[in-house]
Amino acid sequence: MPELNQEKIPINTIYITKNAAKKVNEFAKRDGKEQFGLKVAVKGGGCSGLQYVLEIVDLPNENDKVINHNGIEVYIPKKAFIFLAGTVLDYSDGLNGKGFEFQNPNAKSTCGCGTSFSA
Amino acid sequence: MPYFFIQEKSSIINQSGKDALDLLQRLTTNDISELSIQNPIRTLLTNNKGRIIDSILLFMDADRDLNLLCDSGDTSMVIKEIDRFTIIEESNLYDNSDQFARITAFGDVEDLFFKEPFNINTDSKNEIFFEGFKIILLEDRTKKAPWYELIVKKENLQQITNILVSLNCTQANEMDLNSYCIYNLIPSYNREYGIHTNPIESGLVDLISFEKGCYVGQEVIARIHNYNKVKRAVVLLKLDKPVSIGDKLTIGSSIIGEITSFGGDHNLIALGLVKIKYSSEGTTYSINEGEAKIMRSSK
Repeated sequence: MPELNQEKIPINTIYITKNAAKKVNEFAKRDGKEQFGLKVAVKGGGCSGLQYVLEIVDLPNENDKVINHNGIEVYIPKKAFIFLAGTVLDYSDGLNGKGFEFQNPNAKSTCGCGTSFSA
Repeated sequence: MPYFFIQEKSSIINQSGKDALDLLQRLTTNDISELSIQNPIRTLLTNNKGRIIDSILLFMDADRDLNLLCDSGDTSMVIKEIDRFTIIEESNLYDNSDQFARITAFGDVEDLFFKEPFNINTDSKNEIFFEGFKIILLEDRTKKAPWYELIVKKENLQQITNILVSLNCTQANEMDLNSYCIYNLIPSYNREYGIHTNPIESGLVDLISFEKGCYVGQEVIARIHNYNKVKRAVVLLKLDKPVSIGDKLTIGSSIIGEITSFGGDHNLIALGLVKIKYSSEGTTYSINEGEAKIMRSSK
């Protein structure tokens, strides 16, 4: 569960929970990266029309919005930010866990597997 | 007999950018990863409810540019729909309809393009230079009957028309093409398929890849397919009296479906969209004062 109530998330940012941050660090360490950022974006496709992009990258692109949360530097392309503002990125593992999970207040509907949404 | 029909509008969109093909793979129903100069692929643009926005023949020209041949004729709608989902992708769309003419060749045209004077070798290119102008020839294998699209610059339309006539290819009108579609159970835009149907009930299941992964509308279409929730089918009907589009097909007092296209000799064949339960060959419906009997079904 995210440690913040989504109603309290400022809409001009996105929030990375401690669980998500921990998992991102694990993935980066596994890839041998010491300096890295988490690219969070949206691209066309998926059952509902828009799907999330998560990627560990070295540097932000020129037009990326850069946010720091729970020790993770997050890079968001400006064109994608309008679809992501106010989003909480969480991570849950275990048998019932869903992996990385987006709680996006801009999503009008999501597909069954949760990887795509419409806005 | 070989026939050709000059389409009113070529409806060609050029798509450029490094993410163009990948974006269309994520937005449309068919697996287009094998698209090449030799291999045009037809795919469907659907909405998130699994309804058909347009049927598009994708092809690459010799410069490996991506082109979309839209059946709806409404290129601005297709551009708007793709643009809506273009967020971080590098993809640009241009309506090229004004530059090109599009000719649909159908009927006994199988040999027409592969011997003199065209002598097209489809193993190498889909483009030939003929008498000083370029022809792009696209075979559409999804139609289940011989069907080719010829694309030429607008200024060369008269030349290609003269050549086809000299080869005993007959210029057809819209009703001829319509009748060919009906006889061969080929669904047409805004009649047997469109925003009012899903691809499976329109007989377009061959344009769906069930292996490639997600695309817009995939969840709904996969559910209809996997749980056998198809409610309607397209049927070829033999009539005893002429009908109109929208006329209701009934069994007893129940409406089973309606006429979506009609044509043939004396307008006595038609396509109808009917409830799947009543779509078996040989089923007879009442329509107006006459009867309609199913000759073939898309189910």
